Amino acid sequence: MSRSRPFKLVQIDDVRWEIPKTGGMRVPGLIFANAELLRGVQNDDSADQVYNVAHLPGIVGRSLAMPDVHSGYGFPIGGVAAFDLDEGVISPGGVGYDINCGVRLALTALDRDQVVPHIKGLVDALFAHVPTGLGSRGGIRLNRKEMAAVLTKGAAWAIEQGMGEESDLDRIENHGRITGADPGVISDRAYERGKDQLGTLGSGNHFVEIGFIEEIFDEETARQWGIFPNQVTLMIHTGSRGFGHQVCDDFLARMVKGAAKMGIELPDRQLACARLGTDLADEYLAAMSSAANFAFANRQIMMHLVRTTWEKTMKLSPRELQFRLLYDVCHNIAKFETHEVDGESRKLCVHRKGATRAFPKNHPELAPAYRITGQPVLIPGDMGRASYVLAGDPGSMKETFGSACHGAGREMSRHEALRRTKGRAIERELQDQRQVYPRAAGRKTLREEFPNAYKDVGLVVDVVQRAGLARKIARIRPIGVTKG
Amino acid sequence: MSRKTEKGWRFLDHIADIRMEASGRDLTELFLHAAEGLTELLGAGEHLAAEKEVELALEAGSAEELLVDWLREIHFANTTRGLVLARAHIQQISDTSLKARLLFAVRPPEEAPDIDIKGVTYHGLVVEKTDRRYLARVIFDI
Repeated sequence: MSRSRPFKLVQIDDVRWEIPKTGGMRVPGLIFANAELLRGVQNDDSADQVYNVAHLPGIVGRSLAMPDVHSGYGFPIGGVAAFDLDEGVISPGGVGYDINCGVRLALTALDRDQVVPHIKGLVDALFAHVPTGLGSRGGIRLNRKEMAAVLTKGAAWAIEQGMGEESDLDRIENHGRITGADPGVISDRAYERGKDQLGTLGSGNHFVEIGFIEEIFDEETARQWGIFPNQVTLMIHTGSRGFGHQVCDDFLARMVKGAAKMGIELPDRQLACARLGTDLADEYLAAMSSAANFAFANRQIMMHLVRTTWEKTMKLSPRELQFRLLYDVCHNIAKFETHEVDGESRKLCVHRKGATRAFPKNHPELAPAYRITGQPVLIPGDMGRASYVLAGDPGSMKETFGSACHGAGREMSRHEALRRTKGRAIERELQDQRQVYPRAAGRKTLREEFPNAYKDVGLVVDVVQRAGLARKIARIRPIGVTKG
Repeated sequence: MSRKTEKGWRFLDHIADIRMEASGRDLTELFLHAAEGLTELLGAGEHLAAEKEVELALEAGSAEELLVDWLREIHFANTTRGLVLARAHIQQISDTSLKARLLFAVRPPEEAPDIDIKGVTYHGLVVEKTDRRYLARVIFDI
């Protein structure tokens, strides 16, 4: 260990490191990492945060960290924690600010060679037609009643407006709608922040990316999912925008104030939580579900904007483009799920913060198309190297409450990225060295998000596969990207 | 690993976010310096004409929570209405309550900052009194 800590990190095997139960920990911690990824863990606060989460009331099994783990606030990003419904808690910090931030991947009938000659025009058109950037607005402006319908229906609301197909819902986690949403618990401030942000990408690491299938690892599953070599793909990464942030803010403030009254001792205020079954917990869950549904609708709308812009720009008919959603995953969420713990089937509240659900084949919550393969697990990397499509495997149910990683994870801070790229033209480097055409709204975004600001996603998914949480299906190489 | 300023605040490096350290001779100055630091990130407004006045009264369980609530008010006005703080007058402050008058200006779009501050967190939050000064550390989500 490179710093003094109140716990030990014990190697179990090549990809597992345990924090044995010590002091006030209620359960042990478990970090999935190889030797290289562990160096990052040793140099930031993420192991301390895994340790802190292990102190929360009613935590079950282990406090978990996926191989892309890095410091968050309160919970680490890449953290998974499950709680008993009677003794446990719900924590907004365990879900994250951007509630239901997530990723969706769509496939096309196009080959790489058909798109590369048009990539600049296509990316420029997407940049112009998909609202992007700092505080991006200009999305769909709704009144309270219409917004309430979005918050209750999720992706289905967008489909009702003609943005997508009914069959898309089978290809979205939880069918694009978390039940229990209640628009009545949403604050005026959250409505105000979200009122014109539906259908907008946002800033930072959110993106719309065009890529192609560079390599297939599991031909049978790829075939079943309609994936073929050199196939052009579309990936969208965004969430619930300012709406979700305000929901998180509102309830963190209330739970910080309420934790002491409830007798919950917190090693970090950002771990503020409420006991499950209390009015405050129920209200947060209703608000969180509303924000999650906002995010599902947002990604559905974004995909519609991309599809229509793509058809128009390349003068393709829907039949020629054959744009089809492969899957949409949440990676900041808490859900009630049934898992086996010590041989007993128990309903738990599973928090995934910067982690992706990775249910294996035969899981009853999956749509029939994925019940024979396991669900798609979408892992974006950085904008210069690669992203991966994985499938959930049985190991996830044994060790991680059906979870895997969610991305590459930052290697360096934004300031550090700006320092490292001073004087460099990242836009030019991406085009000349990596054949990726980027557009970004922010002047510094491309430098802050340059490829080496992130860990190598290949190392991350390799650990996931070796741990048996999910298996590699295909690797995607980017060719064009718009960022906020 | 810091960007030093001669003002009562500075920014420290953080892997995914922005950490600010502010100081002051008393709580009033500490809170004003923290507000100035956040406003610097949101697009400084002291050169702009104040157009909107807000009377603010806050109550919290501790000085730390009060600081977060204070900064959240400034952030909310910015993120929803594009307002930046031009001036602030703290009329009363204790560890658990605050009354203030905030004067906001409308930020011209061409002065929009590069950074999208999305929230004020409780993570690593500190307000402490040393022999002669108050010190605060707070992390902004970006």
